[in-house]
Amino acid sequence: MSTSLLSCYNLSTGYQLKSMEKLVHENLNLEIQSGELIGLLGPNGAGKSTLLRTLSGLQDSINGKVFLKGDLMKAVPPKTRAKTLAVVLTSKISDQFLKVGEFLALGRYPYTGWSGYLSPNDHEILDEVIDQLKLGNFVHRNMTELSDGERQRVLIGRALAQEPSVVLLDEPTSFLDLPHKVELMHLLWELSRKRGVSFLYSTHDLELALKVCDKIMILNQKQGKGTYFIDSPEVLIQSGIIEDVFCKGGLQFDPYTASFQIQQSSKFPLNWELNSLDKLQTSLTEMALSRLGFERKGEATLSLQFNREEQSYQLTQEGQIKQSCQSLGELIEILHQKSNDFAPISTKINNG
Amino acid sequence: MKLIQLLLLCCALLLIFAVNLSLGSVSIPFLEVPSYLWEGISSNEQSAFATILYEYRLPKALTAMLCGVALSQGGLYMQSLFQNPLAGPYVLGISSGASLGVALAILFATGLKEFFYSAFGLSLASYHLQLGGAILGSSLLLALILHFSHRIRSNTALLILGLMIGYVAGSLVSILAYFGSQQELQSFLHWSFGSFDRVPWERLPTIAIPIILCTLGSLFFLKSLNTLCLGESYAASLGVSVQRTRQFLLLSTSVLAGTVTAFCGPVAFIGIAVPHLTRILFQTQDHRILVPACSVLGACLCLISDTLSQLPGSSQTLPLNAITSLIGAPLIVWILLRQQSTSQGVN
Repeated sequence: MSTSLLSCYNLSTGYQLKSMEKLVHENLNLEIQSGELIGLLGPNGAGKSTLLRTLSGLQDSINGKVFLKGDLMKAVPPKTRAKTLAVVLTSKISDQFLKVGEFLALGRYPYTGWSGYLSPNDHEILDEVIDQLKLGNFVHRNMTELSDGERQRVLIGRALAQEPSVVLLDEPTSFLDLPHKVELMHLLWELSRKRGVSFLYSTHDLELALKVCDKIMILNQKQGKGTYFIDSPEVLIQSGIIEDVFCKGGLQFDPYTASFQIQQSSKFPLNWELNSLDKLQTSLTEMALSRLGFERKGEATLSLQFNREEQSYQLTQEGQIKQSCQSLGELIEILHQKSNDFAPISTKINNG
Repeated sequence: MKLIQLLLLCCALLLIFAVNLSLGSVSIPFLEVPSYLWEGISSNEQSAFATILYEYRLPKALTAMLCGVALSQGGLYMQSLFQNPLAGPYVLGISSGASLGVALAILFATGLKEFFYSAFGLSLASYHLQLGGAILGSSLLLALILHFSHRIRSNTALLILGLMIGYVAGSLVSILAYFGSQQELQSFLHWSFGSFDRVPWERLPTIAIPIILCTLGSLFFLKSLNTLCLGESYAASLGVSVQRTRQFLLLSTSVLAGTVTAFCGPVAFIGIAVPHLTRILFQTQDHRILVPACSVLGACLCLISDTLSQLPGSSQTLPLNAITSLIGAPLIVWILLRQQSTSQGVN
C-alpha cells in the first residue's frame, strides 16, 4: 500500500436521494503527499463538496476505497482520524456566546479526556496556533463579532489545533475580498511548507489557485457523467484542459499570464503602433482597446499611434490626424465614443 | 469567575429553598425553619409546624427542585441537539405526548391494573401507570420528531412540526377526556393544572432516581455537547459519535420530561426559558458550566413558581402551569426581541 497521507482508488462519490442513488463521480484516483497544497476546482454542481465530504469520512462513498495513511478510512477509529485529518466547512457558526478561544480549544477535543480539561501541552499547542495565525487580538471576542477574513483564519486555526497531517477545506476563500484571498492562500502555502501539512481546498478562484497550488484537481460534469483531471498547474495549462472546462460564455484563457480574458462579441478594426510607449503603458492601452472591443487589423483604415515627441496619442484615418490627446484617460473617452459610432453597424451585421 | 457565579447561584437556591419552606397557607418564621425541620426528622412527637414542614412542604420543595433540574436539562439538550434556541420539551410537543400517555393511563387505569396483575403478578399504583404512560408518550413523540428531523433540514419547519404533533396529541387528549367519566375527567383536569405537591416521601425515589441517573449520564456527554454547537459535521470530524450523543440526548430528554409530566403535570416554559437565561447570565456555550448552572437555575425558578402558586397567606392555590407561563412567556418574548436586535447589530 502506498504511504501517501490521504488517497482514494476507484472512488465513486454521490448521495442517497430518497431511495435512489445519485452518482456524482466514478473512478476517482487521488494521492495526497505530505506538504502538498492542492486546489479542487470545477463548475458549480461538479461535486466538489461531495468529494471533500467523502474524503473526510463524513459521508460514505458509493464505491471504492479511501485510505488515511495507508489504513482504510472506515476502519480508522474516529478519534484517531481526528488526530490526522481536519476539516474546514462552509456551515455557519452562529453561536452567540462562543468565544474565539473556546472555539479554537474545541480543536483539542480528540486529545483531551472525558472532562475536556486542557493540559499544559494542549495550551502550548493552542498558543502556537494563535501565534502562527496571528489570532492574538481576537481570542477573547465572540465568534459572531469577527469579520469574514478573521473568521476564516480562526476556522483554519481550529483545524490546525487538531495537529492534523491533512486539512480539507470547503471554499475557504468564497466570502473574502481579493487581498484577504491572497493572504489566506499565502497562509496555506506557508503552512504547507513550514509544518508539512497537506491542504486540499475547493475554490472557484482558478487564477489564484494556478499561482500557488502544487497540484490542481479539476472536476467536471459532461453529459451527466463526471470527469476529472489532476496535475500540476503548468501541465494542465499546457494540455489545454483548463480552456476546455472553463472557457464558456465569452471567457478566454491566456496561457501566457495564466489568467482569463473576456472575449468581446463586437470587433472593431483598428491598427495600432505603440512601440514608443513604455511596457506598462502599452499593456494598459491594449487592455483598454480589448475591453472596448477593438481588434488589431493591419488593413484597418483607422489607426492609433503614440507620438514620442509630442507625448500624445494620435488617431489617424488614411494618413490624416483625426484626433489627438495627452493622457490615457482622454484616449479611453475618445475610443469609447468611436466604438459607439461603430456599434450600430456591428449590431446590424450580427442581426443579418 | 464562572465558578463563583455558579456558587452564588447555589447560595440563592438555598435561600429560595428556605423561603419556599417558610411560606404557604400558614407562614412559619423564616429563622425557625431549620429547628422545626430537625424536629420533624428526629422526634416522633411533632408540633404542627414540624408536621407541615416535614410531611408536606419539604417533599414539595424537593419535587419542585427535581422538576426544575429535569425540565431545564431537557430543554438545554433539545436546544443543543436541534441547534435552535426555541426548542424545548414543551415546544416540541414532548410534554403533549406525555399528557396523552397520562390521559390513557388515567382512563384505562382499572383495566391496565388488572392486566398487569393477571399477566405479571404486579400490583401497580396509579402513579406507576402514569409514569409509564408519560415516558412512553414522550419518547414516542420524540422518536417521531427525530424521524422527521432527518428529512427536514430547516429547524423552523421542525419546530412547526413539533407544534402540530403537539396539537394532535392535545386534541386526542380532549377526545379521550370527552369519553371519560366525571371522576376521571376531574382527576385528569387536576393533573393538567400542574403541581409539585403530589409526591409524598414514599414516591420521591421514583421521581428522583431517573432524574439523578440522567444527570450523571450527562457527565459523559458534556464534551460532545460542546462540539455539537459547531454542527453535526464538525462534531463528527472531531471524532464525536454524533449518533450515540443524539441517542443519549433524546432518551434522557424523554425520561426527564416524562417523569416530570407524570407526577407534576405539563409544566410549561421552564424547559425553554431556563437554558436561555443561563446562557445570558453566564455568557458561555461551555456545557460543563451550562449543565450545572441550568440545573440550579431551573430549581430556583420552579421553587419561586411554587411559592407564588401557593399564594402565601391565603388558603387558596393557583395552578402551577399558570404561574410558569406567566413568568416564562414574557421571558421568551424578551429573548426573541433581544436576539433580533443583536443580529441586526451584527449585520
